[in-house]
Amino acid sequence: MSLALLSYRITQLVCLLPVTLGVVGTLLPSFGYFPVAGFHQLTGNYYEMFWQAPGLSSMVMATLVSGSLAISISLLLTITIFSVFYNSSSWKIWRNFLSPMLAFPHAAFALGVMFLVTPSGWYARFLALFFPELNSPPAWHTVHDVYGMTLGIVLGLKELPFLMLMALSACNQVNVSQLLRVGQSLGYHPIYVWLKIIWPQLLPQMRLPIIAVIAYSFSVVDIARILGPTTPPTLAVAIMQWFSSEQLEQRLLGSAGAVCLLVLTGVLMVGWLALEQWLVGKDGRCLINGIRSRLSLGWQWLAHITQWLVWGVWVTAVLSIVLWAFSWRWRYPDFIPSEFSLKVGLRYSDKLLSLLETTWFLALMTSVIGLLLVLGLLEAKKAQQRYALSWLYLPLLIPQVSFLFGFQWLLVSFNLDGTWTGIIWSHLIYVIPYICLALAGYLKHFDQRYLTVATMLSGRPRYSYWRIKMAMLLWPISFALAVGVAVSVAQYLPTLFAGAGRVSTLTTEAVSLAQGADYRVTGIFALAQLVVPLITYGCAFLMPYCIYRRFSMMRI
Amino acid sequence: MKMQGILQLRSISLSFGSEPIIQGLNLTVQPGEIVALMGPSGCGKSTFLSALCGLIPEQFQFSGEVLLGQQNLTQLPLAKRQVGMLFQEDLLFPHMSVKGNLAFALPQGLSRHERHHQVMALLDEVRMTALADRDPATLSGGQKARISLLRTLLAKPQLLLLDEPFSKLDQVTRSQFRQLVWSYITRYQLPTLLVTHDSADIPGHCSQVIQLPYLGSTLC
Repeated sequence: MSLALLSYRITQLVCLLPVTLGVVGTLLPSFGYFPVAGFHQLTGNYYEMFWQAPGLSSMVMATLVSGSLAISISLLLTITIFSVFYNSSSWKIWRNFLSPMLAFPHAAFALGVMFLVTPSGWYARFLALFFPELNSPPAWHTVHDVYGMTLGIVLGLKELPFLMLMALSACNQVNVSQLLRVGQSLGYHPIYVWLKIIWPQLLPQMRLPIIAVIAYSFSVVDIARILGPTTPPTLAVAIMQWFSSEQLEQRLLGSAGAVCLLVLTGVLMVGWLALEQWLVGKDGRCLINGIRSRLSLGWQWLAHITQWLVWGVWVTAVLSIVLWAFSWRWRYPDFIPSEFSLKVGLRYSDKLLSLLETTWFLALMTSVIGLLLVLGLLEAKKAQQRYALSWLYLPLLIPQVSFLFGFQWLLVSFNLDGTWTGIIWSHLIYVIPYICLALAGYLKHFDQRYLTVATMLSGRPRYSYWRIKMAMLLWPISFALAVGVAVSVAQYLPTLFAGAGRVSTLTTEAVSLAQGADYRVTGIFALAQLVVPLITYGCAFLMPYCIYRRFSMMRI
Repeated sequence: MKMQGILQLRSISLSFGSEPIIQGLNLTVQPGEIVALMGPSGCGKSTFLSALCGLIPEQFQFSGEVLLGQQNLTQLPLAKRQVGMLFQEDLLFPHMSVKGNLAFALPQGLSRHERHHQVMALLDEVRMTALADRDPATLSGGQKARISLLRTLLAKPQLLLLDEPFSKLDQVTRSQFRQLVWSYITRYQLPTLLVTHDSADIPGHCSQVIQLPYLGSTLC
């Protein structure tokens, strides 16, 4: 068996085994079969219990509202930004900041927004500068709102860079400039060329990422714990609470809930596929109605305002984290802290360093293993066919709570729960698909003749592979490694389930601190969580730059 | 000057799925001799050369024997065939300087000093020492082509395959580069297969011109 095929098989095992056995391991307890805890009787009682759970309708409502808002906001913003700003001066800013935005951990972003929108947050302090009646914090329900609207908006903003990067990659399959020229020559405004000609071609290519965003948005736990409703919470958070209960029966109830969430997500995915067909179906009425430029100026204005709002939220979220992390005294309604200090950071320095060490170790180990597996698997002949790697993205399409409980029992049966191996495995399930997304295009478009020439010249195939192919792909490889680190750092539920409560990372700590801790401490942990992927991204850009700065073809 | 072996192709067949391109071709190329393969774009010329290197694309089938001197290359991996190939593009490694590109072709086991000395001596011979530390992307088309040729020759191939190496050069550079290639083939006595779609690229002393038909009609 070649190394490439071996990587292919190992990756299949690493990614598919936890998902398939995990789903089975969640499905069986939902029907009352949970032999490890002494439940052997197959029954539908736990589904009944689930249907009668107090506040279920509110949980479902909050889940549907926040999830729908998230996918609508991220997709509409992606469509608007591409349609209005493609190749404009703003476009460069978007392109340059997409990777750092993607690297921004979900929990850190949610904490940053929390610092902005709480009744005593930065936005209220800003308004208090102009409205004296806001000199005491207003009674706004801006976080933990019953319908999870803030959660939905934040999720939408956080998923925006992911969808934009996927759209950029889809643009490579469609000749955008040519289509723009053809559309404009027929009298269509560029915005309408995008809406009527380009997007109908891009949307089917973005099916997988959009479905992944749906799966994530309707089942997110970490951001929901920070910003979502609390009594009752969203469905995914409630399921997690049932799974964490000491009463074993509650865990079976959690399994029933996880299966129902899986079904709900599946229905929503099918709903999206139907909507996509309706939107981009051949000769759709709105595509051939002949409208060429109606309200295009209004669209542009709206897009500019939205763009500034989005940038504003991102920038102020980062600034608020930094301010809280270094503030000592920041009374309401002061706009900026009256006293800055490193005292809080120093007080928690031991804990921070230990968490940084754990987080770095996990992220680097996971990313390096994931990278090697992906490099191997992309060289396998089996991976060259179209859709050959679709299975790799399965973990992204299934809600985490719907299989991680089952996966935990798989780890328990191999004595791997709470071990580094178990946690690295649980992170690899998510790190591998993202590394593959980041790298596959570059490897596919690499001109193999360079390798042929190098092998002919040196007579050493492996040497040529590393010295030529890998060296020429150093930038995408280091970028993929940074993506892997960012994905690993952001993992919350996999760390909780596989770590069995024995291993804490910056993310698990930041999420638990969000529930009532001192903002200054939360700020420090959010900042530390932010620093890991940003340093990695910095290195990923700097290293190839320093090595190849003399060679113009190797510049980014 | 080392005498190279004779290239012999025996009963070579190449097909694309069920469509034969070449059937039962027998060919002998003497050291220093050039045989040209002509044909329109997409007729399988480049695939034929790749197949001689052992690189057969998935949809193609290749059979027959490739002998070079006393050695049967048919089952040998690319790394052991001692074949040199020039493509349409120069394919200079973009992350290495001109010197680095040339040094890559030198055999293993040489010291850093020896590598430097050999590369500089070669560059000196063609009056290109000033280019040693240059980024390949900053060279002209003609300079890139010459460095690519020198790199191929430094690896001491026993057989030279030319896959339309002149087609991307301008008229003047093209003519100069052709003369340089022919002179090196004679000097190193390399059996050479040249693939082209332009009869102007075929040298006067070319011993044989094989016309490849359009895909679908077969060369026997």
